Amino acid sequence: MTYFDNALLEVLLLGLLSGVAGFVVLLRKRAFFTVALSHATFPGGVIAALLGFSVLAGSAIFALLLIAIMTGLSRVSQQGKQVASGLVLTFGFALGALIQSMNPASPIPVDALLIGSLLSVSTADVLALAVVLVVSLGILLMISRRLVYSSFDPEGYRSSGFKPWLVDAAALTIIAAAVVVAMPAVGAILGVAIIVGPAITARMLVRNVMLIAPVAALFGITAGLAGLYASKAFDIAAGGAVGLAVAVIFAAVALGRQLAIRLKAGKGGDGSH
Amino acid sequence: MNALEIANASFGYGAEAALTGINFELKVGESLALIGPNGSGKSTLLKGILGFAALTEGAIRVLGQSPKKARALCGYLPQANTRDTDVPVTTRQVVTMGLFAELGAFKPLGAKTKIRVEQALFRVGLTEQAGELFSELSGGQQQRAILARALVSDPKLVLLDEPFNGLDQPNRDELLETIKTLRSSGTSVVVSTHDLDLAREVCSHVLLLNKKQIGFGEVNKVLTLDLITETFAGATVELDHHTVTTTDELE
Repeated sequence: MTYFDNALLEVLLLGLLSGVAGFVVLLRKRAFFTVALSHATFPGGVIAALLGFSVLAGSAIFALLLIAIMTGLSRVSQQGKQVASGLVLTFGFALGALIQSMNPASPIPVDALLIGSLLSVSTADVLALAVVLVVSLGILLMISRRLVYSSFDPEGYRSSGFKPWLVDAAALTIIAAAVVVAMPAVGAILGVAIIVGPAITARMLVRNVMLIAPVAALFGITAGLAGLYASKAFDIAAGGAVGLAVAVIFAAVALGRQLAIRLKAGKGGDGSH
Repeated sequence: MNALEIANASFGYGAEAALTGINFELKVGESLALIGPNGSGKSTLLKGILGFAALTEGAIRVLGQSPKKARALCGYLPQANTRDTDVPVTTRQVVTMGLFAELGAFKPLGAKTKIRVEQALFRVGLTEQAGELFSELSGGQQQRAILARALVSDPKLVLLDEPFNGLDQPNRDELLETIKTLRSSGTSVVVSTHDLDLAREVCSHVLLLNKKQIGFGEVNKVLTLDLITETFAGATVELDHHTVTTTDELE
């Protein structure tokens, strides 16, 4: 496969994963957690690159560590999940920058770690993404009923005899795995755009919770393809182009929805006179 | 078998008891009103019956079993502030959630399941709103939808936490009718409320609470001026169309 075939497959799989992971992020209200996690896994990648290991593996190990730290911090009295995410975000990002600055001679691809390098993804990166997609989809199918119920009414969910930790653990696993495998293509900073953006765009359009994931996947694939081909046509950074495409689709849907609401209100007003 | 057997029980969160000295039995088919001021322990007792609040002392049997084991046989209507209306679910989807424990992860919604959901919607008068988004229902309709979710699994014991709060008259009347129908079908009901008239209208028994058990028994024997005054110490309450100012407030 050529580098472009790899990139093409990567954005297609990433688009599908954005439907799965974005749906989970949206229902669990974990957007800030995802931002924090994506930024804070940066030192994991830096350390792995310095030691000559797989950047993906380094990021994955760091993601697990960070989730443990965030879970611990969120249990500290009068703090909560947002504070824990904020702390971990700054800690992780600062640590990555510090380690990188202490090794100026090392060939760490800092830009690639932060904003990705879609046209440089390897077959191994694509395979890792495919495995995470299949596993995440399987987990989502198993927990989708519970995920929706517990997100809608946690107290009612518990009273039905379900244990909240199971859905929490499954949701964290899906989010963390998505953040890690998105890194080679769109980096620590832009990863959150492709994971969260399509889902929040889909949420604006659909009135049925079960349609959010497929519609988000459609937007994710569209943004990925648009970014990739724009990158090729105009010789611009592919990660940035994908991130921008996500934002443009979001803005277009938000604007279209607003116009539709105004038109509907206008028609309703005309009818009443 | 009794619906509830609670002997010298205390309930709380962590090691600290929020409610002490609870001691009563409720037979199957009887209905109980939990009455007391805010913070008196009504919700704590309901959560104790479900096994969410810890039993720090005494004993409790729910439908002859431990609270955790009996949970699947109970229908629970939590207070109105526990729902996330950002999640776009229809009224029908909300009611179906009450069957997820039976259905598991993959079992499809068969014809029988769908009929049960429609019957539950009919019982609470929401057939026409079945396809509407939960977030677009009125507060009273939302309460009734959650009640339908609690009823769809045909529970033996129904627990309602302040179900009448914020309801307008039509929704209040609908809910009252539903509770009366439940009683007549032999389902045991425990309902927490501030409203003494409601307790009289739909319940056979009353439990007066203020961080401890003040009184328990049949409605007419327990809703006396002395016990009400002790229960609502420091507050003003309506009783038999008279406004009663309690002793603490006079002091």
